Amino acid sequence: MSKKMIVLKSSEGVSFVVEEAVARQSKIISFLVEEFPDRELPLTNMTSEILRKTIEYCKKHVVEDDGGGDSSSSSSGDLKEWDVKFVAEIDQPRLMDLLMAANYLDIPSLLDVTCQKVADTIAACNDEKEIRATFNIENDFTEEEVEAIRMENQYPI
Amino acid sequence: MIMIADLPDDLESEILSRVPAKSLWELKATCKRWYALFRDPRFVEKNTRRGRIWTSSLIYFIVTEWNTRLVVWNPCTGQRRKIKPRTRYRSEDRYALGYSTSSSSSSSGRRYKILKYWFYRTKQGVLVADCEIYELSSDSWKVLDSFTLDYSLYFNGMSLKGDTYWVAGHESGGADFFSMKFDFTAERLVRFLLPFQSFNLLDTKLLSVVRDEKLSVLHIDDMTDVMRIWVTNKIDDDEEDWQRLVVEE
Repeated sequence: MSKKMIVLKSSEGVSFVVEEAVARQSKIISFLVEEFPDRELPLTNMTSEILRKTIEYCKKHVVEDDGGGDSSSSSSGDLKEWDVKFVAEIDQPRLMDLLMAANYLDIPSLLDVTCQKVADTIAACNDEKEIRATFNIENDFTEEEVEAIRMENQYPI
Repeated sequence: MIMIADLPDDLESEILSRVPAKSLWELKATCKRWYALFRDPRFVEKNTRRGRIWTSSLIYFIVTEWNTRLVVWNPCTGQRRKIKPRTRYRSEDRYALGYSTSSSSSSSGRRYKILKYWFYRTKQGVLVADCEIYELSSDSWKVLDSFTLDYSLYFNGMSLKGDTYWVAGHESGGADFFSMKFDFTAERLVRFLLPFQSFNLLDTKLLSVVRDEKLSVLHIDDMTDVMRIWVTNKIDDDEEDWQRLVVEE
């Protein structure tokens, strides 16, 4: 018996045919396929590139439950390693897009790994300047304010 | 391109709560949003794993372990410092945490201090208080002159604007209750009037702090079960100006 497929459409109008079990890791898609079976689902705020990445993640994480003993379900350790590599290969702007996609589609595990990766990147920054440059954050403090913040509560511990 | 500032607040806060507190503290001047977020107690709570807290105030927590050790912990940075006693710690020691403000009155003029106090009774039955003050910036203890008192301080003190407040009363009851404040700038105890009269030891009398701005006091009359709550209008001067908020019968 062939697996049930659904169609997801990116903002550029590109259609992705995906196994339903793969796409159902998104709680939103899971809900939508039940409400609107046999319809292609337009994801107008996701580019093809991000949608492809998201599907790649979901394919790796899908739980093979069709009884096949030789299914490629990975051990949790391998999967963690795969996740780390997966987010490491994505550049900063796309990581943010992916994070938003995970949030929008409600895929908790993908949201978790992307949030952690952003947090690790922040922790690796040496000072405010580096963090502003990395994340394109506008400095809305005046020189005097920054000076005041530096001075305040110089915690003596 | 999505920027970190475009993220919904809860996502931004979720990400930042995963950054070690020490790094966050170094990055607090990144932008106004973050600066405000890092000071939000809810965020701080999310960001730090909590320890055993004996009493708390503003920025620091004092943690004691059966009063054999004294540790000051800064939840914003995760830093902690074990404080050596001048002599030794005893099980009857009590602590209050506060800061003195210098005349420049900017927040940088705050000097954080710990008041260590304990009471003992002389053979004549007179209650004596011994106090020591530890100052964090100089890492040193100072001994205050002992003094006798005819009242007790109840419960743990409440910290407001650097000073600590207690409900106080004469040990035998039968006399009115009042409030005592330890002024961390002048390093002395000051007496305050409470806005109600109570002569009954069994009455509930609780102090609390409203938004780190005002002091409030709750009084439940044990005989009539009438509950009243007052809040101070201002606390900056040495005069209390109480305003009654609630009466429940």
